[in-house]
Amino acid sequence: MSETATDRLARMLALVPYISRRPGVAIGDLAAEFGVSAGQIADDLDLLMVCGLPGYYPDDLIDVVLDDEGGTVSIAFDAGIERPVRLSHDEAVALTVALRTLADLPGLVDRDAVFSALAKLEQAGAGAAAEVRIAAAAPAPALGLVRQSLDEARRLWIRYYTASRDTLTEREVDPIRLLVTDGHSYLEAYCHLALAVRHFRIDRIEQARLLDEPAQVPLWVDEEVPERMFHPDPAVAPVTLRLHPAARWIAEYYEVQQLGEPDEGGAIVVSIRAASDDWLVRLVLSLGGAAEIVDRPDLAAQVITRATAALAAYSDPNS
Amino acid sequence: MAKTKAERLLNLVIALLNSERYRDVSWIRDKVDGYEDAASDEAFFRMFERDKNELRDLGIPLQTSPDGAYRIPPGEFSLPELTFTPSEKAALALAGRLWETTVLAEAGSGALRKINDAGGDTEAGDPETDHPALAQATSLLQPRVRTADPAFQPIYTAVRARRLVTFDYRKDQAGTVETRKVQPWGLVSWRGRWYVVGFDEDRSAQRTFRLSRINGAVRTTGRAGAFTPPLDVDLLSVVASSSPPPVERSAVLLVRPGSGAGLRRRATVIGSGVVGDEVFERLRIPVGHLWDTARAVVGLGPDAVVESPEDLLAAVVRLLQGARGGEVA
Repeated sequence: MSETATDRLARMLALVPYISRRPGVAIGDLAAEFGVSAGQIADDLDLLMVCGLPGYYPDDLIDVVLDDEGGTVSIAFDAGIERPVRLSHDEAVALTVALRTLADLPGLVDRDAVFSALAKLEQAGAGAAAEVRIAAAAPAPALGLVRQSLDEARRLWIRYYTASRDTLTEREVDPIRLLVTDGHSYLEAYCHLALAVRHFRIDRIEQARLLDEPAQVPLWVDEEVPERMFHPDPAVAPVTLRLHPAARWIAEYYEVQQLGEPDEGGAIVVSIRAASDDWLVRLVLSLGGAAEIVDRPDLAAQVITRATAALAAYSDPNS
Repeated sequence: MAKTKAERLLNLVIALLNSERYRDVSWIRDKVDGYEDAASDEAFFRMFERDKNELRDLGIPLQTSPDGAYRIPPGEFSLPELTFTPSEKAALALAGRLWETTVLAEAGSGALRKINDAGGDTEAGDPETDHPALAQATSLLQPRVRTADPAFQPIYTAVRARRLVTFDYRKDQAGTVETRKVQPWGLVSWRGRWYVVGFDEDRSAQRTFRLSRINGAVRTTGRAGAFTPPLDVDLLSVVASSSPPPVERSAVLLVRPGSGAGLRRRATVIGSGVVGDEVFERLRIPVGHLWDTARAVVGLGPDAVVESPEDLLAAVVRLLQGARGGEVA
């Protein structure tokens, strides 16, 4: 078990007021709330029962009342641990840094509420930490209208730039929620063009208009934020690329799987799921020889053909 | 049976929390369950020193009297009663879930639980089902910050403890790996990437490092409290200014009708021109970073031809020659 005594102490100090406020709480619920196993909660309760005021007579000990049949628990004597301990340093950092980040998302949250919550936390001894800072997402002009469509649950018409296909499309979408992640904000919406749920980067919405139709309410929304906003076409097989040092940033930028270690020249081989063959050709072309397609000779040939054709325009004396 | 350490710590907290007066070490050794295991005076003092530090790490206010006795004032031990408006609760609920992984995710949910349990409401309930507005706010907006870089955790810990770190760092994609020794002042997430800002001891200068470019393990060295971060440095603006804004100028190019949607997003059509035997549109586009613009143009292959400026034209030709192969890129 890797848990330290301090972690366990922190949990036990939190368990007592948590149970006191919820007499008869189920042990399974405690396990879920505190992110440990039910067995661990049972061990913690056993330990609480033998701790208490110096003297350690039965009346001095924390009185944990277990209902073994129902699997529930209450606390009859808390030995002075009535209230939660002040926020620890990590807790204060987690909350205040996050609040400041939210305050920087204009139009998404009530900024006054964020600042007043921060002020109350500061009064409670959890001052804002300066050691971690987050710039959440670049501002995007369409954000206000997107937010309004969510609040009013109305369908939205958008003109959207799809970078992976280098095209502009017009779509009608039913907004589901806004995700802010990895420096960008995204609209998660049911797209009537793709006939599926898609994620639209708000700064790539060129134009938006609220429609009169109500948005269809999704039957079920996944609580989790998806790992990736990019939906590779499952029909497109992954392609193997060799990235020379000048193109290794590709591996940081896109979802790739590195195959093996770098060679002596620093080149790495990766497997990438491209949105389409066209996108891959554009990418490799734009890297000017710093990336090579390993296992699709047809695409590698297209890169050379397009580069040669493009160069012809520059050697033309009239251009 | 030997008592577990958590048990001893909890008994120490309860004993000092319920004392009206300061308690000296001999009282603690005598009365608090768990210290009887100490084999000698020396063993007891070692044990007690460590215990004190661990309580302080948790934020438990352990006060010392001038003559070396201890107590925990209940008023400072527990979170005061906090009352939040529904919109403040909505903001807090979002904030507590911002962190995706690491120690901060756990700390965020722990903090929310404490705040809820310290609330003025006598009935403890699920704040989301009790307040529809809160449920709506948290389901419509989901901000998230990932801290998946393996270097995040050790550097965060070192920032907190103000300890030095050393790591192997690859400055740019093509560059060699060098070992850096840094006083970590703080961590910044900028455009979805994490950076550590600090003082590079070998270079005697302030530096910014991208976590994803740290190779291998981060080593923490030296004692805690080894440095004091400057108060007047705003970490976010340090990172923001480390990639200088490009000089704004414009380029003129010919683009095949219907292609280059990305380039056209910020383009103005200013006329037309002939490429081969086709009529292309003449566009004016803003040039940010030269090579970024060049790559965007080259990706279009024969569908885009640069007319000006000269340096963009040269960059595009060089990339195209590299992509065609046979010539040095």
